[in-house]
Amino acid sequence: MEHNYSHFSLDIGLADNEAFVLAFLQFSKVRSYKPGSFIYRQGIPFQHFYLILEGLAEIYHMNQKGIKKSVSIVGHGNLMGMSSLDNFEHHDTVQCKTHVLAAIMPRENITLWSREMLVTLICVQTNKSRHLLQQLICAHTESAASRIARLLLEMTANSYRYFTSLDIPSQVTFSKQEIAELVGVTRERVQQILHEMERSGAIHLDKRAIIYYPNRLLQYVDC
Amino acid sequence: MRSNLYVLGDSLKNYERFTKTFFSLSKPIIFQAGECIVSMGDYFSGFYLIRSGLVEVRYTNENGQTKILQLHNGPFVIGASCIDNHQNMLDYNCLTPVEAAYMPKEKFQQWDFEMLLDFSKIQTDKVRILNQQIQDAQNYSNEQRVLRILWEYALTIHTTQMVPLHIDGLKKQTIADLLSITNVQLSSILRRLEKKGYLLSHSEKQGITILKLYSESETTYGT
Repeated sequence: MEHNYSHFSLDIGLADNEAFVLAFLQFSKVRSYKPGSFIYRQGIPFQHFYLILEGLAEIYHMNQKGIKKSVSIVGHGNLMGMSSLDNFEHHDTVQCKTHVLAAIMPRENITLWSREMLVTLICVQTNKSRHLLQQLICAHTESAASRIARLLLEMTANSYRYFTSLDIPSQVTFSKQEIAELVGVTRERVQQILHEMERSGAIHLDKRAIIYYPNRLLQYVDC
Repeated sequence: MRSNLYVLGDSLKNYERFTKTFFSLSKPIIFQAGECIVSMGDYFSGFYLIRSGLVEVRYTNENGQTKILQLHNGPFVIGASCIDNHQNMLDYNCLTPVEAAYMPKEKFQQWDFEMLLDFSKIQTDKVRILNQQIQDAQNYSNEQRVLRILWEYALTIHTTQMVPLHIDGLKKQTIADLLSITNVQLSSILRRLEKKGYLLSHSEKQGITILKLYSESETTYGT
């Protein structure tokens, strides 16, 4: 079986689909967001489609008790807001982690789309379902260490399959709390696992920065 | 109130035109209880619209661990992976006789704009349900989720939401597999729910009677 999908950074394949991106741009406006600003917020009705052209943003959900749960990190090529077609409210909030450049299209412009664009949209949604299925399955079968290793690997490459060299170290900046929320374990457990990884030489902790060696970290990925 | 996450009823109720056109391009097909519509690892040769019957959607990993992701007890459509030729990730097993319609993928070329737009909404619904299922697993206890599954199942077989609601035909093993818990854990949860007055009885032969439903005012269930 070939399901090596990324879980935490939802690379859904539009990054390479230049024809779709160019067509989407015809019907949309490009907007720049500063780090920390919101692309959309939970509870507000969907009005637009959003295509991220550059930068990273965090998707999170706030439950009724006001507890924040990170869902994923999205970047270049991610299309969001499809629920606008059904007049749904935003179920999550999307907040920029870096500067973000996004193309924003009013939902009614979908009537101007070509057949090819709609087929691409169906493929995007189908691909998203596969990502989510894999995430759901792995939540039950994958170890916490594997989920953390996958998160770190996916943050610097859209998917760890795309690393050009697995021997060159890479770096991500994450707090233990952020990792805990994304992988669904306690902060203490994250700390314990990161120290185990550091002892094995897979990572090096430098304050909030985590320097890691992809080939060594891959040994922890078990799903 | 949220839509069903684990036991899905009529997923196509808002897509009458889509369903009608689909039937005009397809041929009827019957599956017996115990048959698999499409197996994990196979490629879809076309689309299936399931008209009636109970279908479980099951994943099995390389170690033989298995999980039911959803039960469908009403119309739904599968086969989008035939558009981009991806391997199917799941087993679709018939738990009862199933009436379906099959459309070879070549007919996809005949879908008009409205049909494609409807299908992209159907795929978006699937993404939304999977997203909520992931969040559900993080936010709610197994006890809450068991009651949720029973309630969702009851909604697909009864026209009323008035309690008491009696349900049968749902095996304990199926509920346990939906939540990735053991039969022993499930029995203990059912006993607790009985003590708390949510259930009257629970046995494989006589079924389960739901006495009380979770309401959003009583618990934090529902977002």
